[in-house]
Amino acid sequence: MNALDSVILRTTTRLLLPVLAFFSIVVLLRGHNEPGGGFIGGLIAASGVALYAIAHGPDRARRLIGPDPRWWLGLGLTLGITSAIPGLLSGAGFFAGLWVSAQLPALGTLKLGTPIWFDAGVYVVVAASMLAMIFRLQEH
Amino acid sequence: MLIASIAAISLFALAAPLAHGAWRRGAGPLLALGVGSVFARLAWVAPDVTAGAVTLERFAWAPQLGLEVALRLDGLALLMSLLITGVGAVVLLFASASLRDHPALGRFYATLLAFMASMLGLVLADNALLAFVFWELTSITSYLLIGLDHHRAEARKAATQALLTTGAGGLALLAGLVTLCEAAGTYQLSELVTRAEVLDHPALTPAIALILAGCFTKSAQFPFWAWLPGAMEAPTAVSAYLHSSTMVKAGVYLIARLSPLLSGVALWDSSLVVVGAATALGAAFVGSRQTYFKRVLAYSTVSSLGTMVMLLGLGAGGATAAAVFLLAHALYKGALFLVAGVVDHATHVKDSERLGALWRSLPITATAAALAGLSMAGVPGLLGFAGKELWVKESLHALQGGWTPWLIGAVAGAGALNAAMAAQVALRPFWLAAPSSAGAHAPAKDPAHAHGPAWPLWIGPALMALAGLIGGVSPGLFAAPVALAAADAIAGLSPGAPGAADVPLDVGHLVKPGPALYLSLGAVAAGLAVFALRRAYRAATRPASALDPLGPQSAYAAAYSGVLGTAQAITRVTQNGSLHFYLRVTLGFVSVVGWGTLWRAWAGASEPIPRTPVGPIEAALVAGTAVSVAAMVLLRTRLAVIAALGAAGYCVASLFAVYGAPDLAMTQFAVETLSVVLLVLVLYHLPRFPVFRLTAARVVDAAIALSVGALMSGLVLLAAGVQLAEPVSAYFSQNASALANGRNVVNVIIVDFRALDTLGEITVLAIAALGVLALLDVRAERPGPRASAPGQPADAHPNPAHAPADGALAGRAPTIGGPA
Repeated sequence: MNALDSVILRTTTRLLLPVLAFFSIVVLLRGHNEPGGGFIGGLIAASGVALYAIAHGPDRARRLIGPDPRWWLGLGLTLGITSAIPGLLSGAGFFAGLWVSAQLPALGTLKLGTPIWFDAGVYVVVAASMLAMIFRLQEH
Repeated sequence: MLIASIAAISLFALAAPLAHGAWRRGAGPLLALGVGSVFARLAWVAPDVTAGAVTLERFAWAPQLGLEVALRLDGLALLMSLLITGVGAVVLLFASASLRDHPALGRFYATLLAFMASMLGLVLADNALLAFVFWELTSITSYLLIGLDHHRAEARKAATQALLTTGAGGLALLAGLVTLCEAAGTYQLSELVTRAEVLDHPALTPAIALILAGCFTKSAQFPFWAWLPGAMEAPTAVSAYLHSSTMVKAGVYLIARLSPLLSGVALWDSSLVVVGAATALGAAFVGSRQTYFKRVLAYSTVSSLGTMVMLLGLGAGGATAAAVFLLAHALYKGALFLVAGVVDHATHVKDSERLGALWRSLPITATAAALAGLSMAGVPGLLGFAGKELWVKESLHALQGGWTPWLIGAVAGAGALNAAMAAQVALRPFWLAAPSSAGAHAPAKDPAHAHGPAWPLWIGPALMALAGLIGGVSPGLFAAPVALAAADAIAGLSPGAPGAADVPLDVGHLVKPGPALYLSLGAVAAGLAVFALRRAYRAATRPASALDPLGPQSAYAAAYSGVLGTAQAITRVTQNGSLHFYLRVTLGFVSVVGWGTLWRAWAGASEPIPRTPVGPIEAALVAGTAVSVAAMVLLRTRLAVIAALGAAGYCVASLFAVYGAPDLAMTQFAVETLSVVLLVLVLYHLPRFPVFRLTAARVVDAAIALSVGALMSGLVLLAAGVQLAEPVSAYFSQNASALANGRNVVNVIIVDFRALDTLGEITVLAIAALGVLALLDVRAERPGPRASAPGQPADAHPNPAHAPADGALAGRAPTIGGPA
């Protein structure tokens, strides 16, 4: 099945996709303190793109995400494994979480740490593995 | 300095593909220069080491496992690491020219340098586990190098054989090392060899057997030698480096390393002498019947390795002979392999009998070949003579020690046949007239090579042959100090200590009338006679090839196909391709075992099953789940069934939300959504639901399903009331914010406390996704009815139960009404 020929679905998807993409990133970033995280964020992102793929066909969905999903798998795993290195180098230990915080005017304190970096890797791997399978099944 | 040497070469390995991409022709010489600088650094400290200084470096790695990065440079490690870096540098240079047009040259550099770093790590390691890690790394890099041209079936086969043989030996070695080190109470090799009390330990015999199995496979001893001639599928540079000068000496090295402790143990000594002598003679016999350059050199290498193993079984004098022989062999055999590579490069002829008079077109190469060949034959004035002379001397000495006279026969025979092989590769193609038959090649006629080979090709063999000459003429310059320091390390003595090796290696001292000299000169003469009469010799020994079906290669082939055949037979029985069958067996088994466990646990449960009040919302969700599941079973349209499945999942996810697990609920919602999408995509290809099973079979299925469902509910209820230990969740809850800066405990566990687990999980996820892609592609490549033979991997496809039906639809890409 390549694409559903439905104007309503296509129009809705065009509106939904940015919302889902934004939502998935919010879920990823807030995951450390509120319900959410990379796994669920990746699933939401994959749902959004999958919806787009159903509405517009896998070819356009592939163009939307740029490189092949397998490239994204590699990127995600790289993010995951490299997030272990700062801890190793600082002497705190392999995979030890390191944090930096900065005061942003009007927005409050921004905390960034290697666990978020790692979670981004989880996000990418989850989304990419789902999309790899979905695209290929669609193209069959 | 030691860790820096290994790190530097590892860094070169990482940088090699980039360097090759950036500079092409310049990358090889540059990398060779880098390796050469490591060689120079090691050579700089060589005088200290040969005088008795030992360098130690240690870093903690995993102290809980007794594993530390402990590096130690003594005489033996010095000899090996000089060979690894020195031969490595010239081989890199050689490869940069001989593989100039190879499409995977960048990968080749990287793998060769990774091998070099591993090999250097192995000889420098002072921790048994660290040494084992490097040992395995050399096996893996060797596998990659043999299979460099992986599009050729022979290369893949040879690589697999090498990996399986050395890998199996590696496992035995690990078991043996752990046994020995546990018995001795230390994993530090330099400490281990001083623990003489371990010699009375009952585990000593199995430990020795396992360690020797590892060393014998690695160093291609009888009956494990078959992989080494096969490994000649690799480019010549690899053969010269791994399969003659360095890697195959890893087994010899480890035997030498453990010699201070185990030399003198009857099982150890006699195994080394018997297996070594059998290998030396057997391989020399097989090799002397070959005419292809690399095959002759491969078997003569096996023979030489046998010689070293044998010498290591002959005590301290043997250790000296082994060290000298090791150095001499690395130099002349490395040179001869590279010579073979030059000849192959210039003439594209691999058979030494079809070449002749090459000295005219390849004068430098021919000179190098002559020097290396004379050293290999054991002619006085070259380092090889010293090695051979000491070998014969020690064997005669062993005769007085009670060894059977057969030993001296094996030594003389191996020596003679090695001389014949030396003549075959160094004399025949270069200095004798070209054969008159039509197949003869005169490379000078080839305009591309009329000017002779490029300098990176001949410089390596020339340098190594020259080193053999200098070592023979003036051993005090480098050969004697390095080899004797190594011999002292093998004997467990420090240089200069009483009893330390003090054998003069110069010709004047070695050429003394006596049985040893007569024997070794007689062997050279006999070898030349065999070479002169080689046609008659080969014809006369042809009946021996009747033994081939009993030889090591046949044994390997039989074992290999036996294992595969057994695996296939088991697979045919257990993996018949029917998902229905798998589910029945798996769930039926779980049900039978599980109910017994549950029954006993329930009867013995002391605590009451905890009860949580059930409100109207929870009740409604449970009812919703039940209705959805019932609908799934009863409905007859695919899309409706998928929708019902999704509804059941959403009900369960809502239940999670109600009970205060928002993370779980969110994840579940997303998973259910994507599952529905995937299932629609998969099932859409299938025809309408046919009913495959008879009613009776469906009743059995329903019974199994209900049984497993009830069992799982019971287990969950029971598990809620059982507490084996203080739950770790309290620690996580208390520390999530303080230690990990996060208030969401679930996420903190996933990305911080248990990040390593998560990394493993996402890796598995990525591999699973790639596996699904591969399986889908397998199907896509085979339109038409899918083979439903048992054990077909394609049956792992998500809809195997419908295999007979979907074949008709494969290859068609239906769309839901509309343009594709």
